Amino acid sequence: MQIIEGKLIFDFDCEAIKFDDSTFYRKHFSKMTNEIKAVDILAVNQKIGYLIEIKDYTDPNTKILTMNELIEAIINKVISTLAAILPMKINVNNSVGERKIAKYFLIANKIKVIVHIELPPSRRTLKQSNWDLSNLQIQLRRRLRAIDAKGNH
Amino acid sequence: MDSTPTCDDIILYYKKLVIVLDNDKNVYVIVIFFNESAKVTGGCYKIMRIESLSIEIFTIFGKNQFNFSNGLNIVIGENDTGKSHLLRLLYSLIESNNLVAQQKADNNSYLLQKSLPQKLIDIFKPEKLAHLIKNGQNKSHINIDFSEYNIPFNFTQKTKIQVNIDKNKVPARLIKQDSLFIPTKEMLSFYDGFMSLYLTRQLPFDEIYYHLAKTLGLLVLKDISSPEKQILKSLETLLNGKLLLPQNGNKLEISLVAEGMRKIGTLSHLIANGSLNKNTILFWDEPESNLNPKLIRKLAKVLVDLSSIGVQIFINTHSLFLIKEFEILREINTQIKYFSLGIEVENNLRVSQSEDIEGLDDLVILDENLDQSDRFMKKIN
Repeated sequence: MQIIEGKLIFDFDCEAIKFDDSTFYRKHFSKMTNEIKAVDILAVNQKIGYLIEIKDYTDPNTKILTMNELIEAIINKVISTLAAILPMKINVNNSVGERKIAKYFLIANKIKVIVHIELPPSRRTLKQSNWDLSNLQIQLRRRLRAIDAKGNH
Repeated sequence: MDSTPTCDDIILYYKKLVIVLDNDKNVYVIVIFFNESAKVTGGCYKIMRIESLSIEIFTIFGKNQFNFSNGLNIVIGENDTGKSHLLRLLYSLIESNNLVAQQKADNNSYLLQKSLPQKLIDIFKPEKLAHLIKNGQNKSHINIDFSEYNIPFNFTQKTKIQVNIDKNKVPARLIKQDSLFIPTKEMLSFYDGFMSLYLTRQLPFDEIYYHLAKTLGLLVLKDISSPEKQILKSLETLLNGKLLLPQNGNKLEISLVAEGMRKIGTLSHLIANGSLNKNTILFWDEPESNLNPKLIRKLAKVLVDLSSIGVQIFINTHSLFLIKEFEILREINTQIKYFSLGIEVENNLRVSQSEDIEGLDDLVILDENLDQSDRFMKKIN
């Protein structure tokens, strides 16, 4: 299955949908409050549910967030998306695909959060060194460990 | 032989030949195959590791429990959260234990009652022992759990020269465990005259510096065992040659003048003179200080290598760079444990411990890095 996000193309050999473009999310779930945001892609493979967020900073139209803004935005999207999955399974009647992936996600035994970031070509400048993705990764793993857990709590 | 000889019966050894006296004073000559890691110093040598420590009402600590790794223990936290106190307390307890173990007496509990306050005062340098009790409260409890036995004790505002120990909980034989403490201040450049100065003058240095000066004063060994030798070689590569201390007319090499290189030199000399070997427990307060990132990277490798040959290591650090190097070097069997110390609203110390950096509740150095990144981004955009 191919999913296109801006100028990027992702190939999945498992169930996947462009979640923030789904009818249920756009027309119903996101209408509840302004704070609701969702991850870009929802995928399920071998009982692992994937929440995938994509940031393409090679695209000049992408809004530049600071590290902490980006972390908070991703956490909010993950929580909102998870909250949408159960009602998506129960309440969607007119889209087999949306209902099916929600059903698969709900029987998963592991959740993984993936953040895909496209950065401009590497240049060793102070400005670029500011984009320390390892810091972003450690902080997201810490903050999201209740959801994307290494072990049982 | 009717009776099995105890470790204390061993009175002489030469390579694999041991002469043993049993209780009836019969002499036996026995060939013993020593484990390569065993070090025989006229008696039985066992290696202990620190398994855990519980602290109540001591300096900044309220009621905290630390469960350590046999490998690399990394303590993280802001200033004034008790990082150095933790390392110093562990070192004081080992040194007290060693002081008593060396005496091979029958009254261990009595000797510990006196050696514990003595070492705590020599290392923490309070005016009196009671100043180590948190916020003027009445009683402080401490229990250190070694792999072989534990030592629980407490002291009160009234304690002067003897702490309270339950005699039944102190083992009949204590084991001496070699340990080394490297403080933040570099000592290689001034250890030579320091010892006599420390013994005769009032100096603002604690006993840790004296111990290190004494250890640095030991001459290098003619030969050291293979795992340590490999690590020594890597340090000598960093130093562009062997370290020659100003003994026997030798002079300090010019390449060691830089402060960061002197720290590497310290580590190299401690391995070369046998003080730091696979049996040692090593404490190092902020090992990254004065080192550039290139050297921090090498240092991380040396610390991971030391832990992999058996050295139990305790370090304090403010360096996210160093922590990331540890994570890069980590393999499946690498034993790393992180301890994060943070102050809660009511001035209580919160300790979070985890084998993964992501498992820590507080990670101020990362928060500060991200905040700086935000401030930098806002400034340049």
